[in-house]
Amino acid sequence: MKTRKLLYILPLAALVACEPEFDDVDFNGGSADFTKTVAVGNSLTAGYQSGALSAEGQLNSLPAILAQQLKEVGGGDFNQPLLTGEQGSKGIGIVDTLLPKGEVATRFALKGTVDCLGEASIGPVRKGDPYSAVPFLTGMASVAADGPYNNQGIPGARLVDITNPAFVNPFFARLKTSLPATMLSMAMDLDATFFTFWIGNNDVLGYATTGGDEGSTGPNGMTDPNTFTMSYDAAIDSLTANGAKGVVANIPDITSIPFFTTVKWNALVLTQAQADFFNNYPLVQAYNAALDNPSVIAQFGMNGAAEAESRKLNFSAGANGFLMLDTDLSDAVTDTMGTPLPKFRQLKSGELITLSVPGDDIKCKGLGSADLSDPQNPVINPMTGNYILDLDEIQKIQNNIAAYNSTIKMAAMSHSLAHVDANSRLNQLASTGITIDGITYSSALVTGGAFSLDGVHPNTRGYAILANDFIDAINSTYSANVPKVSVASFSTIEVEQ
Amino acid sequence: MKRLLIPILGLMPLFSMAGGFQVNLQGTKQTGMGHLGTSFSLGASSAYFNPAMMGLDSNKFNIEAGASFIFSSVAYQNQETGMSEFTDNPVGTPFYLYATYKVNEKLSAGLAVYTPFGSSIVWGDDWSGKYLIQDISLQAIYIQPTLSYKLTDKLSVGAGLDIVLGSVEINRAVGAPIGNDNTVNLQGNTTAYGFNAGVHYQATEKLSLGLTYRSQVDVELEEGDVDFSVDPSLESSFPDGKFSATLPLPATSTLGIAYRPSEKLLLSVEGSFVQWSEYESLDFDFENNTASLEDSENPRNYEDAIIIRVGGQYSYSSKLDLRVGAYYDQSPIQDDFFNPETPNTDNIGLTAGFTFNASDNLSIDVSYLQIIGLERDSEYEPANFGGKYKASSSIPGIGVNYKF
Repeated sequence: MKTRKLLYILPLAALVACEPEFDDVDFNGGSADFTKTVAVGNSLTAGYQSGALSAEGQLNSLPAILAQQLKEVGGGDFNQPLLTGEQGSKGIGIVDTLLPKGEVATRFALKGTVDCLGEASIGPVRKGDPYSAVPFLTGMASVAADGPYNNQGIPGARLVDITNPAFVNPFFARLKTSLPATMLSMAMDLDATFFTFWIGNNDVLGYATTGGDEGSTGPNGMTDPNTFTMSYDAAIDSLTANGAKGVVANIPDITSIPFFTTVKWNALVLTQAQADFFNNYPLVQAYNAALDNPSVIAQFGMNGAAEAESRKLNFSAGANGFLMLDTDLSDAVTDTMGTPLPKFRQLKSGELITLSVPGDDIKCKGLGSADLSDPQNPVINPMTGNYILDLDEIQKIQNNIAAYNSTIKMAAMSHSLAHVDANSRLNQLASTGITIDGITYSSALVTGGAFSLDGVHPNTRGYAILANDFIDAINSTYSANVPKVSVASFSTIEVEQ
Repeated sequence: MKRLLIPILGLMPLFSMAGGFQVNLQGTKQTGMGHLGTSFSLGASSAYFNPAMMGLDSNKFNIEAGASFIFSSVAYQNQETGMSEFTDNPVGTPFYLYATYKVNEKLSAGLAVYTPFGSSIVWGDDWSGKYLIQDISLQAIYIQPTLSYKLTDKLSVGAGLDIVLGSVEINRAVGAPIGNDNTVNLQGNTTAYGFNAGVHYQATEKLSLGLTYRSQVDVELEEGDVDFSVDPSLESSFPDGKFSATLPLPATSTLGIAYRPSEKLLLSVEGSFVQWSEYESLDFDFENNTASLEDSENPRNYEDAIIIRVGGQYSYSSKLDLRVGAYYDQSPIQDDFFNPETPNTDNIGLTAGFTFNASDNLSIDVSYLQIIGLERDSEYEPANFGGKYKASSSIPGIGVNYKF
């Protein structure tokens, strides 16, 4: 009897062997109401990546990823002003460095390229044919009629632009609902219950990407920290006027983005023979000799001796600081004829070169040293300051960011808003890297896996990491449990044909 | 028996999970009573359970063979995304084959073939932990010539040489910055050696004790194959080639006590100490290093673990023996180093089984083991990957004995 019972039970038990399972995680919005959200900001909110706004970038924008997660805890729809057709696939980018200002360009794609030396490699190349004639302001048709849009991120917008009805920008022009409308007024029109507000990057970025003081005219000047505080506090007062809750993010140290860290200050690699050639070249010897001349040093003023020393050119085998033409250096003449002393020096440790520096000119035209294509007749070819952030400029940028960030932190505290420390997150990415689900991301261009091909904006995974940071801040501030995204489920960069 | 086993071996992967990647299914009779068997002999399987006991049976020849069928599943839940994912493991089939021969009253010789370590975990190509592991198949077949010697009527000793045929195959995704379907396949096999030894002491007619030691075996893969499948732009960064790696199979010491209150009843309790702390790191040394492909050190930091077993056997009739047992198998893995490659929870095993004695020579064993993996919330900290894990296995087993 017992035998027969066992014989029945054993195979039966094998069949019903219970699969392990879990209860669903309890997700909730805590004290926040995500019924209607609005995202106010710049390119980082719009979904800009690889040098342009494209439909794919918009669909993977930070607030779009966030909205998808908020839906799990009662969040509403998130309407975005998607680019369509050719503009949607090739992207629309504001070009302020590679092409004359006022033009738009296609996004960067990762493609095979051949450099001036004939070496093939994979690198960022603008996608497809350039737009033949898309004027800066009228190239994109208005989509205001299909609004209102929950994503009010406008690439290029500075904090000081969001209350300015005269703000000139093609992305803003296509959304603008009326002549007096501003970015902020349009965001207010949504009467949102929850907002994201991440702005201020462009208040320093334009200054930095154009080489600091050399390009600091007009909108490329940094916003004065006091102006920033007034504008920021006013914007937060407006956004919270109806009782809305929200999340704000601070400004990363833009000097650690790949746009400034990819081309190293001392990437001039010479053989001993090349170094000897430069050191013995008559123009270099004459320049160094002039810097030993007391009458020249006297013209430099108080710290003349130090300046003279810092300007001397000296090349050695291995890595050398690039040669630059530094207009900040003192004027001096070398003889009674009034022959001006050139303003040459070599780059110093800590100085940054922009990604916009023409790479082929470094490789084939001796940019940053001398063009030796005719060995009998070398041509000195220094880098100009619009590609370089010197230590003083870097300090100015970091001071402004620190001031902006203390304003942002104060505003978040006084209005009990969630606060994302994007600054320390980028520091972490740049120093130790960030490991998530078995992948370690760094701030390196392309190989780091988090930045897009422009070296300024995150790629899709970078935006997903940020979305999780926003969720962390929301969860801790509003006692919520909003589900996070699986970062690796988002696409990385693909090589395009 | 051999004709039956060979097609099974050819068709099915061999393994499943237990403590770490230890698989304790070396005798269908013993499995039915909590996998106990160090302090009392149940036939030829003594060659594995305690080599000192091979001469305790009255027969000249004992032959025993069997296999188990492991239906296992592991569930993972990420507490931050809310996503649950499950393994889709193939059926593991650990097997054993034992033969013992009594040379004289004192000396016995035996041969054991069994599979005490292995793992077959399939998480799938596109699950959230794919950069740690997609699937792993690990196997170790032990071939063990063994001798047993009766020192006195009460005291026996035995020892065997372990010839270990080890092989491993791992697939995982490569977290490269370009492309979304980059993977690597690592596989290799090798032969390694170890030993085991045991002592058995029949204290009284009712009480017996057994103590065994199984040495650590280092499976050293010297010439493993690395095969990358990556985006064409990355092929020079991830070159195919060879790798070497070492996987320790830990030493295990077991002490058992058996008590027979009556002719029909056998009760036993056992404790095992498994020296998993030797498994500190799984390091891959790649022959062709590049900036993207450096040698990789993957800390494991296992801790020594114990297994406690209790069980009993009741001789219902001359034809039928009934068995029941249970055990607690402690996970050697710390909460910060819990990798889905070896998702080993603390396990409770509940077992039952019987032997049908068809004739004086032939008997058939059946066992059933249900493993309940206790839920744990753990992380593989070096990869920042974690969540809740839960496991379960249902393991029917069958064995055949022939003696003469």
